[in-house]
Amino acid sequence: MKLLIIEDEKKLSESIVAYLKSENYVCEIAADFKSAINKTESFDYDCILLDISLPDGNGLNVLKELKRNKKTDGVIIISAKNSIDDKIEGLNLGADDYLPKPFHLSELSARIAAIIRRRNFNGNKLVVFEEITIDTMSKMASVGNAGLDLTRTEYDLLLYLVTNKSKVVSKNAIAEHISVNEAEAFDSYDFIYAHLKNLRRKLLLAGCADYIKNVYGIGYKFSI
Amino acid sequence: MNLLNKSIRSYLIYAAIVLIIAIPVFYFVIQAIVKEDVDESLMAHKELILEKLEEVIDNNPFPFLSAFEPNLSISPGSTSNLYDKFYSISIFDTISNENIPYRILESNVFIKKKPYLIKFKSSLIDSKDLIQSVFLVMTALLLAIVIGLIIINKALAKKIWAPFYNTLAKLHRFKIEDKEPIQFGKTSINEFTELNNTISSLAKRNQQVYQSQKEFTENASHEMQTPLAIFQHKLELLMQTNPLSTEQAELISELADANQRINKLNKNLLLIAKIENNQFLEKEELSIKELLLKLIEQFKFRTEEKSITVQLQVENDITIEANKSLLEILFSNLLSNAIRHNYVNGKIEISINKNHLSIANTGKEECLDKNKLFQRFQKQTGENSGTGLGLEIAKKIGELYEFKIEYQFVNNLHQFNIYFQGN
Repeated sequence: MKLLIIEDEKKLSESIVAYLKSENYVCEIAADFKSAINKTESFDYDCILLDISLPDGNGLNVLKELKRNKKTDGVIIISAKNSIDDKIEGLNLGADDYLPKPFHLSELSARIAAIIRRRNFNGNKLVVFEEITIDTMSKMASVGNAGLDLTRTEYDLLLYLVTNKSKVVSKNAIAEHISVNEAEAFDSYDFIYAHLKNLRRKLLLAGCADYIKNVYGIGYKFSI
Repeated sequence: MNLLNKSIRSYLIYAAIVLIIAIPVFYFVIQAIVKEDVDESLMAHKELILEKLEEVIDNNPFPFLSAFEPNLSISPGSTSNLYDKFYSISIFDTISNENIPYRILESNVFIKKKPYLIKFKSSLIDSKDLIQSVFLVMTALLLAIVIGLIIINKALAKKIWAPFYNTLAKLHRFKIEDKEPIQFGKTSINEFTELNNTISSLAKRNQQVYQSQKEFTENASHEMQTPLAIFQHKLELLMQTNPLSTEQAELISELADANQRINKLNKNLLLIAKIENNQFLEKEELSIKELLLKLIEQFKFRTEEKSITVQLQVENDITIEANKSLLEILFSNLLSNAIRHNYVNGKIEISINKNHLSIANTGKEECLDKNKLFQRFQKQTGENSGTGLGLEIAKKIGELYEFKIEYQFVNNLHQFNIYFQGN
């Protein structure tokens, strides 16, 4: 899988690369508008992370160029502005997602995985981890042949942890990911704990090994 | 009291006093003058009659006299002194069927050494009418002058003070967040020109200060996003390092929490700047009831966690035109507070009726300081998880859509009321 990170802030692009490289992604970086245009014209990427405020041009123009050249690369806009207008314009121009800064790397990883799955037209939409299979089309999960009866939140949680497998996912990142309401994601982490407890119980009941590990109160890790 | 009324009131009081005193005084003065006049003419009449009587008295002319001079009566007098006496009486007149006032001159005189009592009378009916007419005309005249003066004064004052009222109206409409400078019309009165100029420059300075402060908040928040993102990302990478000691993990965890709080704070400051800049233009018809039901469902986990009972009472649903995200933020902030500052097994009562939504919750049993409540960073409880911006955001959203948001502490419940205008 090939990714292009268009971001002028070197420290940000470095961390993104550091986080994603273990996921078997090949990451390239474009630090300005010109090199971004050059790279997108010469190569195809599975997913492009696009910062729209670049020193020498508006990132939205990269999108326009892609569209003009009939390229179908997946695009996630990452913006420090979190402006609704930018979001709407970006999505209208064909971006697949919009992620306001600052975001969690685990969230970014999950979004990239989702876009790659979606764009994988002929391939399967299944996410597999050992005996666990998640069908992202029907939003169902199963252990071996036994289907799991998960709530919407538990399903989201499972998919989130599995796409960030072998990584410590912070409580904050989980809280933000599964909260529908932003104000709700704030007060306590007890609700994460409760959801995770239920998910773990259901997995264990279905005969699954215990993959959910609490990492010293920082967060959780889904690993063998 | 109104400025115009204040100046006119003094005139009115003065005019009333003058009228109250002048009218009766005037009446009595006229009456006295008339009486004196009548008395003089009676006296003259008496002198005339006496001369004539001396010539004819021997012929006993009394029956003729009473026939031709009904205002004269002569009878043999007493022998006492000579005297003239004036007095007024009323005599009932059978023809006109009313009392008619008369002025009488009673004289004891000697004619050819014999005493006679002569009475002259003169009807005052004409004089009475005259007095009344003069009195009425004068009263009307006085009233007309006073009323006219007041009206002219009022009109004049209104004209003179018009620029002042104009300025006042402009100040009423003035909003510090407006970018347009305040404009006053031209006036020929120097004092008002000076006043307007002073206010203009004052307003302009305030607008500039407000604007730059707003821009500062916005720019600072924006500039903070990137370092915050870097910090957060490095922290996430740090979490992945192996091996990780318990001590390190604890430090990372605390850093992550602090980072999360700064993020929230920054996001909320940006949100406030956006609301102030009116960047939420998209509007739609929204049902308050549906929105609340959705939010109650979203907060269900939190309310169940604290075993809080949530009651929703809907008398009539309200639909308003607003931005959906903003309204959700408004209600979420209030609901979130109602949960956060509640105790275990507490309750939240939500009611919608007429044009008003109320969210009430149990909690610390004492009224919060209403003056500080909606100001930023004014936390009144030991709860530290909030950003201290929730109610300020609620207030800003309220101001944007002209909702009135009020707090009160009733029946041991902290109650927030939102009044939706014109719905």
